[in-house]
Amino acid sequence: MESVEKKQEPGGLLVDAARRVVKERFDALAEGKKELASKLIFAQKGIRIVVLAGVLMAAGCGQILPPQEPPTPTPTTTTSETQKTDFSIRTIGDLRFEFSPDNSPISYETTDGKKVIFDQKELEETRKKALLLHEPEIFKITRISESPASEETKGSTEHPVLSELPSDVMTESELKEKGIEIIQAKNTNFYIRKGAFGKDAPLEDFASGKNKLKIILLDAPYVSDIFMSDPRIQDARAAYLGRTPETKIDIDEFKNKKIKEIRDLIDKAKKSANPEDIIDKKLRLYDFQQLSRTDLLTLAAYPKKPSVGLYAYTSEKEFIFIAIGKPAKTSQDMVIVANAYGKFDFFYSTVISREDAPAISSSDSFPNPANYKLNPSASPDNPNSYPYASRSPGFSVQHELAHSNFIGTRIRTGGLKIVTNPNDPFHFNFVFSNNLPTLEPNRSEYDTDMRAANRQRLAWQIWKESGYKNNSGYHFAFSLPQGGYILTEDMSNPRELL
Amino acid sequence: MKFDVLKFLNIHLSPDLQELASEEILDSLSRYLIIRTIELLPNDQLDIIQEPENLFEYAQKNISNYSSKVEKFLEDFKQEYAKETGIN
Repeated sequence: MESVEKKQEPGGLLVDAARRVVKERFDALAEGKKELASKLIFAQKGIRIVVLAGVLMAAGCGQILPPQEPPTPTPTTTTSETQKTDFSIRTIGDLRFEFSPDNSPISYETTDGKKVIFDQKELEETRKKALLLHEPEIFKITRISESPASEETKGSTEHPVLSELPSDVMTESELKEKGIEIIQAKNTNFYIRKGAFGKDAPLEDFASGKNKLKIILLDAPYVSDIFMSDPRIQDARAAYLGRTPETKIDIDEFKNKKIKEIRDLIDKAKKSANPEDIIDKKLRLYDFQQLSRTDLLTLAAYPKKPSVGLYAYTSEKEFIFIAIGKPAKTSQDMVIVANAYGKFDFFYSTVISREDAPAISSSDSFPNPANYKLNPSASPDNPNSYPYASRSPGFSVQHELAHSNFIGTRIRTGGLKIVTNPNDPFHFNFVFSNNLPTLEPNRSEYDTDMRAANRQRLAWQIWKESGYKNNSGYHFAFSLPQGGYILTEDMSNPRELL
Repeated sequence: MKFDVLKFLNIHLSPDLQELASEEILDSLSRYLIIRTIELLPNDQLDIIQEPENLFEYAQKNISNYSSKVEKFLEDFKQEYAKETGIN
């Protein structure tokens, strides 16, 4: 048998042959047992040495050899003159790389002059693995740049971003007197102007201070109980769970399933013998493995139709959840790959933030519903349809407040009773008063969406007709993570669709 | 006595590749043993096995002469591997 050093392929072939033996046995396994085999094989990787040692000991075969220390390399001496001649500097993208005489990367220098030296032992191990398996192996992924989505912070004449809040924004204590509490997000705050409590304004029902409303900004891409661990919102969580089943996710099961899916893709790519496809799939695996448990939970629980706003209530209080999301960002990575022939290749990989959350944005300032996309399939006859495709936090506030107008009014007038199950205090049942059948609240998403848009339409009209000076129609404001404030909302008749 | 999978399969590699090859082939060998052991399981016992450890613990307690069966599995693997590679 020739050594791999003399001929590069046999190492990979030896490993592949062992895999083929396994595959043939697996294929021959009875169908009913394949599922168990897949599960155990997948789980086996991390504990292989322990398990196999136990089995082999049972078979009298002794124990597995402990991993051997690699032989200490013989030190070589080179003159500085040789180094100067053989070591090369090349610029790849924005980085200056130093290469050894055999063209292996040694270090790179960032644009700000910082030098990063590669671990040569790790580099060599990667190279050997690529040679052995005869397929590309990722050596290093270096984040070169990371930029938030280009965000215009000044806005335009029609949609300006304000440098300071309007003077009539209410303070926390003033809102408390009105029965309103706001749980702010990490990098975004929500504000209410005094006009929101005026006649026919969206919070008119809260002007007296007798009713309670809690507005919760969630740092999340969608509304879900998985983002409601904050002790300050446990009452809101209970109300949420009164209408939505609790999310139960086995993160490890999800992670294992996804990793298996990606590994299957890698295996498929290997069969196609397309190095770029293999690298692409390995990068996907790498990215997935970097995800935190919170990221995994967010992905695992991602609904088919995610809600960016949600209205919930108990007999004592109403709640509005708004998912603020995270600003989109674009990242560029430098990927160094040991190829199947033991050489190093360089790739640039652009990663666009996966989260498609409706992050608060300057483009939401002074919204004009005419700019929203319309959903042509929405219809008043389908109360679960949404005529406007907007998922911006500003529009979500309008939408959920419209629910408050439609449904909350019924609660406040006593037409809707809430029955708590003593055995399950976090779930509620809703019943209507016996003699008030006509008080069925309007739960139509279509009507609610229309009301939200109508409010914004009128606010926009005032704003536009005043030559972009009178912003009093916009009753709510958000602070932007990157600085500045935007106004959103309304000045229509909240009774029009009741 | 130590089990050297490369020696067992008559594989000769340069020293710097031995560790990695050993790791990869052991991985396949352990998968093979899992599959062969599952072959021996009664269908009504499949649900109780959740982890590879459970499988081998179960096998050692409930399958008669399991140790000698493992030895045969190892020999089978060696033969099947030899067919694939031509190494004897």
